[in-house]
Amino acid sequence: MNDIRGDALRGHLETMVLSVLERGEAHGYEILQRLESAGCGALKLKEGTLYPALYRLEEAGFVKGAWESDAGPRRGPRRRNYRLTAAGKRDLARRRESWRTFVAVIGRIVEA
Amino acid sequence: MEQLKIHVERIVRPIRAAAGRKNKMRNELLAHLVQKAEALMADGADESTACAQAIEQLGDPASLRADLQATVPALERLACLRLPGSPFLDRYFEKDEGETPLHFALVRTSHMALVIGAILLIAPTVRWSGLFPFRQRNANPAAYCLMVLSFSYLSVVVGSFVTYYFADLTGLRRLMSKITPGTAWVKGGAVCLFMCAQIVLMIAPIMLFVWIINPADGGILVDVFSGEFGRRVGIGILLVLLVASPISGLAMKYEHEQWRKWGSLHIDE
Repeated sequence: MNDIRGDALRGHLETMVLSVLERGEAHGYEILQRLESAGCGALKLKEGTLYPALYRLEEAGFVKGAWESDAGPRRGPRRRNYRLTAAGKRDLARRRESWRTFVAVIGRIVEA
Repeated sequence: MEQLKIHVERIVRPIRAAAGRKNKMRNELLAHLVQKAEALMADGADESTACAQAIEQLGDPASLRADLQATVPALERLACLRLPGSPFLDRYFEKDEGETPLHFALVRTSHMALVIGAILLIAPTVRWSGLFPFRQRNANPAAYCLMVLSFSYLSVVVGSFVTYYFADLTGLRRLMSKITPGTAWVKGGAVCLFMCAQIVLMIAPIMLFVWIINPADGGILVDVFSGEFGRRVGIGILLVLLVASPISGLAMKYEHEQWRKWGSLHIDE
């Protein structure tokens, strides 16, 4: 499978983040791991790009972030867990619908 | 892990955003990098290599900074615009290495003299507009007012010089500096003491001057400061000090903690 890199992912990252958060709340690093495992290793994401996407989604009210109460034995600062809000679920449904249309239309053209 | 903190600070420090938002970015990016580096170390990499790889995989710092900056609301970005002179204000109570108390006091006094000089230019307009309750007892009120204002200005400048000089000699400056640790009460108390000293050292010579030139009458400023207006101003200043000192103390304590965690890191800006 060919690698999917930065530019090809632009515009889809937020949808992918919402999708992986549907499985349950997660912090940034875990979101990336979920994305990587779902992408079967073909997804080559510059990891930092996740955070601006998360902030945009949070600003729009689609996800809600909360600091974990204790860092525990782990090194480093506390992590911020994100969960999908009701508005986020509705937005994800809309994005899925639009994705299906996109794939159907573009797919027909490209595969023709 | 120090290099991870430095990398995060290099990305976040130039971003124009409120302190809370920047801290959120710092903590999240650092937590991410630490986890990534630990995962790489668990796979057998040594700490230095793991940190370098974690940094590399985070992506181009300039591009990430621009993306993060774009998530800051426009109004907040505007409010956090770095104006000329803001680095000086950031370091207002810090002394350069080897700087003498005299130089420290002179530099700050000259800035204050410029600001107050500009403010005093407004005073004659106010005086002649009739809005301010000056009493015209002198034969030449315009000349008298100009003389009083000139001396007031000199008093303010000398007063601030003395305050800055002694603030440095007594250690008050160090207490107010973000580099020095201290409880909110100690820092708030230091600000309160500094403000009180400055007010007293500015007003007392003005009063003395007015008393010397016109002891019988008391002069216009004595009238102003000892009358109803003076009492109101006094109560106002007291209230401001009582409210502002604890708030300043808390803000300065927070500022120190931020400096200790992030501001003390040397990044190549």
